[in-house]
Amino acid sequence: MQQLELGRTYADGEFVFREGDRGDAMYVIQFGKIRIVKRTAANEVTLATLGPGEILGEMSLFDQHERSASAVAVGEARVLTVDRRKFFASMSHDPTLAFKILCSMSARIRQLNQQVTQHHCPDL
Amino acid sequence: MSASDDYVLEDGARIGIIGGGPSGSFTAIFALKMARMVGKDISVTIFEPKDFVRCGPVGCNHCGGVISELLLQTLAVEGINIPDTVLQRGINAYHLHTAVGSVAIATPRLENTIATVHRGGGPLNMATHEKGSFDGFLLAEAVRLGAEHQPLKVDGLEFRQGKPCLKAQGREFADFDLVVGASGLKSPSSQVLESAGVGYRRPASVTAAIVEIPLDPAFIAAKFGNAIQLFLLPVKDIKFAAMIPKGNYATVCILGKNLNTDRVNSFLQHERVRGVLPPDWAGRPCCRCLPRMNVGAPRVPFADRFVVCGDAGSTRLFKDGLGAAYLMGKSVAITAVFQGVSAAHFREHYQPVYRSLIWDNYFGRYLFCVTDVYKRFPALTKAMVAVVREEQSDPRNPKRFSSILWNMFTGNERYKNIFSTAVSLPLHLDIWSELARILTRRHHATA
Repeated sequence: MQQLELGRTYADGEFVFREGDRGDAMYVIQFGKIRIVKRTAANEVTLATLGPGEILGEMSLFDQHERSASAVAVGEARVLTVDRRKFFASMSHDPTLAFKILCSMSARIRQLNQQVTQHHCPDL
Repeated sequence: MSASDDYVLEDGARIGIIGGGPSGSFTAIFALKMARMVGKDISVTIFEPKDFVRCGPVGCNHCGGVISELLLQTLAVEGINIPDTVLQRGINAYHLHTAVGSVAIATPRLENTIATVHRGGGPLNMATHEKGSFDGFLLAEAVRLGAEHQPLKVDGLEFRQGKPCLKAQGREFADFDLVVGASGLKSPSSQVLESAGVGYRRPASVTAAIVEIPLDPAFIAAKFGNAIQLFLLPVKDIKFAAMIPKGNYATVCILGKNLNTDRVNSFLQHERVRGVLPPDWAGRPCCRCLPRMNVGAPRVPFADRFVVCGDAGSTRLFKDGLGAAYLMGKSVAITAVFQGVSAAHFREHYQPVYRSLIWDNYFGRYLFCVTDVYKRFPALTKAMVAVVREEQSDPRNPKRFSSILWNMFTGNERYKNIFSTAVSLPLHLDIWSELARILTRRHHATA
């Protein structure tokens, strides 16, 4: 059956990208949820679960390193790919395009701060 | 306080926007977002008499309704995601039809990267309202962010003590800090902009044609899939035409010059066009219009506390009007909120964006002239189709010609960038060697 909606649909458990992949795009979730997971020596840690409108994969776009974590669909999920070259070309004309990404990154740093604090001082 | 400080928007500043189409709504959305970001409390009023829920011309802004790949991705990054309740169909390919054959050009990524929408409530006498209007969605987004929507037609604009005042259906709205002209070319409000005494004149335009053809969704799924049908046919006065699948309809958008009902009817009977329609189609569209399409740019797009954008200003030639509306609307908002609203502010910060579109359209004119040559000479058309077919069949091929055509007709790239690709030597080697093959075969056949 033809998919009428925008973006690409991922089945439950399907990877949008894997840890260690080269990052040439970021993604905006259109429908469903995506879990960000990181492998450790012992197990797998869920870093975040993201929903519609949220951006993922932006770190590799900016720091040009490999993907630091994997993104996996939780149930059926649909994401729109944002091409790296086009995005940077647009941002060179309009730097305010980075505002939303900065807001998203700030929210994640805030959340990380909270997690680190809780890890070191569980009583707080 | 210096004279230029008078033109900086402070808390309590008021912006009036004439026209609630995409350029007006984008201006409102970004002005409110940017103002909130820097902690300014401004108000925005949008004057738009159209009810985008209504079917036919009364609720429509007369456009093909295609949102380009680039605009879609940019809007998603901006946090403006087109909801499924507005989206008619996601698109991942174009089928190019020429006089000598057809070829499919697919997006490199395996996903639907282009959106088709209805600008208004849909074609005249539409039976069911399954989906909403794109213009209505953007206007609602502006209202959600705090804009006030006045469903009134603006019939007067004058400056009192340097500040613009608007008259709308007997009511007066005075003391704006900035008025943005974002009306369509045929709209009566654009006459209001001309009579404001700031030297604004409407840009040059040509007549385009848009027709809506009701089709069975099963037929659309089978025949169109997720592809737009593009026609590059050697028909006099028609540059190109696109047939855009949407729900129970296909929107045919014909671009050229001197278009009228007879020319449109004759085009719809062309064998290549009939080839993608049901054999029993009676040849009667359910809704049609001949809108004016901006092909120029006013010399005076701004003054103190006055600026125009969208169709009232400059837009991209023959494509991606929505992308141009986004660029212009956002640039107006950024200038107004971060810099100021004097002519000097707009000259320094808005004019470069405005001019970049005008310059880009010069490259566009050249590229469309080249396209005209390709479509006029069958041997060249054949060579083009053969090269694109070859490119599309090989996953490792860099797809130079395909990307030129894809970007030309999807609005995915600036014309200037397409031009840079179009002058590449390997591309010309491909085309000329294919042309030589065709001409040699023809020579042998006639010998």
